[in-house]
Amino acid sequence: MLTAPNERLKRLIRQTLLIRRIEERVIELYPSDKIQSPVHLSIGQEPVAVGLCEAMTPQDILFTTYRGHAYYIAKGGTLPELMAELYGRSGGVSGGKAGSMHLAAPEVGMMGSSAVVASTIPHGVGAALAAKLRGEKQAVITVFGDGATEEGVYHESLNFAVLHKVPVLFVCENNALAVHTSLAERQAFDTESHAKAYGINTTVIEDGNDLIKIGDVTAKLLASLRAGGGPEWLMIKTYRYKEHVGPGDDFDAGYRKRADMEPWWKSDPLNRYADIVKGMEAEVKAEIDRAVAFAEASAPPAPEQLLTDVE
Amino acid sequence: MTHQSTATSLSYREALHKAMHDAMAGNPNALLFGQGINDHKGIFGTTTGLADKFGKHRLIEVPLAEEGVTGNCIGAALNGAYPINVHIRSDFVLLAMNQIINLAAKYKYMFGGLFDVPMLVRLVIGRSWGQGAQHSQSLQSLFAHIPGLTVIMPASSGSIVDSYAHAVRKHRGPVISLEHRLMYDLKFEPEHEPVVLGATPFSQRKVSHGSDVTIVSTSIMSLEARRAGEWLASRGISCDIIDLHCVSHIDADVIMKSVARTGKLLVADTSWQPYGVSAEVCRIVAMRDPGVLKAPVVCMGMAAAPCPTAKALEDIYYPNLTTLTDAIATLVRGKKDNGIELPHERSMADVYKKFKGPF
Amino acid sequence: MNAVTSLPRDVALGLYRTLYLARRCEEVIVRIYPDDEMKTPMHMSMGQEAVSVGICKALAGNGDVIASYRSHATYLAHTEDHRSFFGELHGRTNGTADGKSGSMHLADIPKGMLGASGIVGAGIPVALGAAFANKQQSPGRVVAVFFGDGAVDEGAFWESLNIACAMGLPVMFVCEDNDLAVHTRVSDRRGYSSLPDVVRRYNCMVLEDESNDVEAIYRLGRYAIEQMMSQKTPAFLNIRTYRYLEHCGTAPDTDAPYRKAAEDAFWKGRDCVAMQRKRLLEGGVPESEIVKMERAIDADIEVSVAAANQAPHPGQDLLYRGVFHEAS
Repeated sequence: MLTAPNERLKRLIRQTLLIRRIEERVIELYPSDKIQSPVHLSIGQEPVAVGLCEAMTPQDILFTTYRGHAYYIAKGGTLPELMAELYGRSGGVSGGKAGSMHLAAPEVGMMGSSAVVASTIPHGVGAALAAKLRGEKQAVITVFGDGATEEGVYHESLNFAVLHKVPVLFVCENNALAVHTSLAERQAFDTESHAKAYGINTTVIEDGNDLIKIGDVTAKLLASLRAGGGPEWLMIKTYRYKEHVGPGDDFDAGYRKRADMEPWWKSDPLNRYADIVKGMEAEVKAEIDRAVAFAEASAPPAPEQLLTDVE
Repeated sequence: MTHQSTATSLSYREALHKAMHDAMAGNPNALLFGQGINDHKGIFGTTTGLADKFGKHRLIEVPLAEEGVTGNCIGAALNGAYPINVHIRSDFVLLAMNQIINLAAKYKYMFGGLFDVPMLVRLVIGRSWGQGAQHSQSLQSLFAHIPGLTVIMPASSGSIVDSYAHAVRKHRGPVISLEHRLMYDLKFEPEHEPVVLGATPFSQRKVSHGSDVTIVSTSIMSLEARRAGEWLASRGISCDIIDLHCVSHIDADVIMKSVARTGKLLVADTSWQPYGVSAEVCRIVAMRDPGVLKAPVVCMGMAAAPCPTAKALEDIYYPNLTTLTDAIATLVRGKKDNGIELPHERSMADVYKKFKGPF
Repeated sequence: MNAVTSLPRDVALGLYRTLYLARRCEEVIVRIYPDDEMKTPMHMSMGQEAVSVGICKALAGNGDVIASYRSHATYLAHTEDHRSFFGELHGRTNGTADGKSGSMHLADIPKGMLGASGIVGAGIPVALGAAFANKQQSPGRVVAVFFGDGAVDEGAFWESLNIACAMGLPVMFVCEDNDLAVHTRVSDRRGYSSLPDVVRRYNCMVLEDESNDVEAIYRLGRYAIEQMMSQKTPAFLNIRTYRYLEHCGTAPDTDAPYRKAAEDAFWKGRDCVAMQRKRLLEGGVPESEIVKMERAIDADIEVSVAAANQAPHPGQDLLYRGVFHEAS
């Protein structure tokens, strides 16, 4: 049901737009080789990050995956430092050592991401255990793709979280692809019913483009975590527009069809609310220009940085 | 800079218990994770009673899920806790290598210094009595190879007490500690605590001063070196023994200074030689000044095979007091038939099982 | 339990024979362990033998097995070779691995006993590989992999379960559920309440047994194999049982704090060896025949122990043999 967009929706749309456009800028810049880092683009999946992070306070912490640009921005990471990081410059959020796959911004609760599938899931559980120990009303979200649910560590983490009733929200960002392999070829179990069998409360959002719904559902689940209700499990279905890694389209690769994208394209908030989007473009572009300019002007890390922060 | 390590007359086991107790008492956010920490055996008595005192919410009996639990520790560390994770056999940590090598070791550098991962992983090296291929490995070089990890091998009660306190209170990165099961029942007299050869408890330690040969050793081999050194002292050979202790951070000057004096080097490690501690010590000497050597370096360690269970093979798999003493005497005298009497002790396990110290 | 067997007499007797063999071998271990001739940590099967015997016999010679480190009963049930068994425990060259493997790694590759591991859960993914090979090369042959309830807490179990189900591999997951990982109860390790309920979420047949009755387990195994073949799915068998002795070692630890007297009494009241013996007697097998069989096994085990004690120790030439592949 379409209602008149209010301020909240506008804010969420603007964030979605910002992420989309900055990643499109990455695509644009990529042939220049200024960004020498493998990029796993969020394009198409941005609303998931935007909705989840809307419900989080800066004290709430987030662990996520190598497809992390959207989360970094949505959680409140700054744009110039993001761009400089992708450029491998000293002004980057991690001084050029992290690149695209390891974005973090601890001051706003973005606790990092890993290139190894599923490896941050137990971090979310452990962080939630620490939060519980300290008696804080801090909630933790750990995001992973549907491919990660096949990893043993996902099962180990789910069990531990339920056993110790820690305040963690497991979010399965389900684009139905592990790299290029479909769910049916990989999974002999239904992830939701499986999680339910652990005694964990499960929720599924079929429309991963519904910003408001994702925000509302997440807010409700986080409230339950803070009240000591134990872990929660949320699946959000979404769609990856671009190839697994890299700036291109790959609808001719044979593992999926362009027609699969159609319904997602239709419900894409940037298309659905094209009129509102139009009015935001100039400002968003200016913001991205500033970030790119910052990155261009930032110096490469000095040689002595090579051996700093090893331990 | 040198200083005496913590004076204690505790056994190795008691020192571990004290270290765990002090960690829990000193930091309300310290957590202890492990399979068996709260049962009646309490990891060979090193965690016994702690859950009663500090609560099961801090002493967390875990499922057999090594990768997951290691990840839980990293997450807890990132969120302000100090986790300690104990594996009753070092071999079991191999299930957690993704988390240790890809995550814990890299979290600080990979994010440009945004995070610290302060945590301690305790591994127990099993040995003797048919522990076999999967309950006996001494994996220090695997970890020490990885930038970002600090790897220690405490060889005395004092080194446990001061190193663990340093890890928990001061050190901000992941520490892997390899404890040796055969030492658990040994008592270490304070006057025999080695001298710390550096600024922190992770520094190398001097076991004994000597002039004829430098012995660089790890873990229980440092005790064997002391025993061999004492045997040889009365037979005219004086050994300069350095307990490496922190195998990931070796002060090259400590080794070079000693070898420059003695001209002879023997490395005695608890593990395999290829790509190991022996190789690393040789790399240091070869790169710094191979000219100080008056004889080829001698290395001792486990035979280059998985550990067999049959005692007949296990006894020749590991170095023992006889082979170690023989190797030192041969190196110092420059020939095999050197007339130095050897102790007749084939199996270290037989000795340490009965042996109650003091050391 | 059924008072009278519904199985052919020779099958019922065969089950008892193997149960008795496994039990007796371990009773002998308890007796001679203090002699210190067997220098290997023992994880004793005593109390749990019905699981191994029931399943291995159900394989009827057309299956492979992989055991947990608590491997004595599985090894003996599958191979019945107590000569090699005692040779290995004694660290002698007449053992399964020249004395190099000890109690935790018993194997007999020609007989399809594909090994055991001291690392909890490590055999499970290996079983999938063996099952995959069978699917290609020996249709109809299944792999039974034995593991404890502690192994289920390992991620490798869940990865393997998913892959086996996704690929439709002929693998029988046999969970020897004694409620204990070393000394830790299931309730202290698991957040979920029913393992079979979670496994049912997979494309997998799930069967359960709580009887500790070798015939029931044997029939369950037969049924599972038939269904696996017709439905082209793996099977998961959760079989409740009870460990009589300490986790590692040969002593009973009934007084240890983790033990429960009522539980101990309950399971010892349904001892698998005693139950099958009683059934044979009630089914008309003369006690003299049973006793004769038992004495023959007893005597033969003593022969194995003597042979182990007389067998040569492995020499230095064996220390490095087998580290890498050696062309023969």
